[in-house]
Amino acid sequence: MIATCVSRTLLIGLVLMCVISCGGDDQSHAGDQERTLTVLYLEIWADSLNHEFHAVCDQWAKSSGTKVIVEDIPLKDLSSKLAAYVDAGEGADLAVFPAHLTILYSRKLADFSSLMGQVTEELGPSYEIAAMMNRVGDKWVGVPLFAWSHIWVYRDDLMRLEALRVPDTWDEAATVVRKLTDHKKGVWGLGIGLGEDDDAAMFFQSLLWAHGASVFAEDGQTVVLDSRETRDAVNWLLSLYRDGIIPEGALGWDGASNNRNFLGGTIAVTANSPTIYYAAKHSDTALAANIRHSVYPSGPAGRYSYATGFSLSLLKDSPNADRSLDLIRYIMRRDNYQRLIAAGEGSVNPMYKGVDALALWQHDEKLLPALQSLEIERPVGWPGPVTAAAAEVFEQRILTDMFARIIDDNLSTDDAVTEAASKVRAIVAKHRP
Amino acid sequence: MSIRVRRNAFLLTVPAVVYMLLIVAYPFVLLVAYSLTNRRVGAPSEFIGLGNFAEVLSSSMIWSVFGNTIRYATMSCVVSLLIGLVAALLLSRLKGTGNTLQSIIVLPWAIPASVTALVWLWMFYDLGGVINWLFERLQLIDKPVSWLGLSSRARLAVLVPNIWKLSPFFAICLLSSLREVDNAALRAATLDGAGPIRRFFHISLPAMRRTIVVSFALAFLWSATEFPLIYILTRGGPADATHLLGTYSYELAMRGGFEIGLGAAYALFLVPIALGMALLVWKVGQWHRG
Repeated sequence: MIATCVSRTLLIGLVLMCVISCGGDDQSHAGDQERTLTVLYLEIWADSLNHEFHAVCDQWAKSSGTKVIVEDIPLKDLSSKLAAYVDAGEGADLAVFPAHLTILYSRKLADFSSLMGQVTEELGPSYEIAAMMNRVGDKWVGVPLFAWSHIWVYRDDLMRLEALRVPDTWDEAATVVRKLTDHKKGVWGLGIGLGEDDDAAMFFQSLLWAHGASVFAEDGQTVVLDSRETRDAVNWLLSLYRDGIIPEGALGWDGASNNRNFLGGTIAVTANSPTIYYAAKHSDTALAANIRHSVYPSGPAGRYSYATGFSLSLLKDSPNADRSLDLIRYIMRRDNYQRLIAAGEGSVNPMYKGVDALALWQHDEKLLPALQSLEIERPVGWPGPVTAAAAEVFEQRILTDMFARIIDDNLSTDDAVTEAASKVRAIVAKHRP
Repeated sequence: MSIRVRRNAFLLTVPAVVYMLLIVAYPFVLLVAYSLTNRRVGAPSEFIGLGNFAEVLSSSMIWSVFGNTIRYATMSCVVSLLIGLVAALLLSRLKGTGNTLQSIIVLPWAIPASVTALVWLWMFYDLGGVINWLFERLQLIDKPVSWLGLSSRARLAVLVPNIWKLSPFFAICLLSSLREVDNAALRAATLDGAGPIRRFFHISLPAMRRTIVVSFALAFLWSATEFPLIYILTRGGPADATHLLGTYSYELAMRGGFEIGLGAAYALFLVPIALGMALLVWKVGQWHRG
């Protein structure tokens, strides 16, 4: 009797739960969706910029009567989160895309050509790198938001002790980092992540270009990685690694390791965005005073740096396209855009020449190299266009693994480069229509 | 049992069945469906039959990744089982404080895997990591060791947090099994002159056989499908050296080439492992009934 009562009660409760969860007025639910925008935002290390972005979105939300939900995504999760968004076609209305992904997903993204006309009228012409990373033919598939410049970061106090000046060439850089290495004091001259993080992939691209090497030719299809210039570039880094100038563990570093080790005083030089300087200004002003930046050194083929740009974009069949575009217009309004750049305190660069970033950063001359870097930056796939194959080569860390195979598996430089080139060719073959 | 009681009993299982269909069956069917297509993020897809499986089997990566998975799961479970067994034996001898210790040792198992991974990542740092700091203080090493940067060390290093996590699970399972061992048989063996080691191997261990096999099978499956520990510690590197089937299929589908179809095909190679463990557990059930 009791068991029957209990089971009946449970049954009734279960049915009620199902009714409540499935209930609701379809019309009002659809209305709520129309008045809510979800934004996938890249959470960067500059908290002040993250807060400012949220604040700008909140202000637009109040003025437009639309609820804005900003979802902060760490960089390491952004690619997979965006893959889910693009593949499912839902989950967000607007997103911040790393620039090579706007090219990769260009078929599914909206056309921003008209909006870009308004944006450049407001903020000035965009840097060439912005167009390279966001335009497919004549169509803009993303609105460039900001860039992380990859620059060299030095311990100025250690440089002065050794009477060293900032190197201009890669060979000078090798001399400088050797002189700065002092294992007795626990200091390595050069600390650059050589593992599965973005830093390594970016560093390798810049190193290759400066030595006249590249992964692709100008046509974006021919693989030219297997060259003498590539071997020269790899051997430059290999000699520093084998001589203990780079920490042995760099092969296992993640994206934050070089930041942490520089701030901890165990490495004297690294390549990074100005986020190390940003962190030092907020936690160790004495160290911040001893940080110096420069653009990437020059090699036999010139001076280049890898471009990491981020753009706002949305799917072309998004149901909330009009509201999303309105939000983008609001973010890219001069006053709001300048707020974001100022809040970044140099950790991100504007993508438009009409924005005087240095003025926004209180004329901090230490940040000038970050702006100068915009002129020498190149996107993945250069000197060819940004292609799906080039994006995949970057995402799969082909160049980083090439180096790891030499160190870890005792491959010769020749064999490692040849193997990497064949992997790239396989990727290109997959993407051929 | 009356019809009404049977009907109510059936209806009460409905939520569990719905849950299993939604959370287990539907994603699995979708995974199989994707594996039969050339689906790629942001591009149209078409049915290609077993093309992905042919590509997987012709690639050298599957053998490396499958081998890693089996090795990782086996080594994790064998070492954890031994540690868990020793812990269970020690705990069974403790009165009073034993319960408190039991609650403490279960903590590693209770902590979310991502937190475990982050803590161990910090401990494994080559510069400033606590393991290197300790080893240098004890003069076991004279310079920082890269635990995660070289493949041979990384393959061992990623085992450690998993063993740390699994040992409490084995300890608790084996402890409860140990407490079920027939005391009369143990007393009789003692009277017959059997020492503790003989009593353990001839009475306690055979009695614990079923628990050992079932807990091993579960732990093996968890280890084979491990994701956060590997992904946070090494992302499958260096140079794909520590990838398991789960992490590699994720890398293919959601990062590297955004090839969902190929990633799904790789993931399905976990099915034989899961079926093997399910068969083992079923067999144990047969012994019990037999």
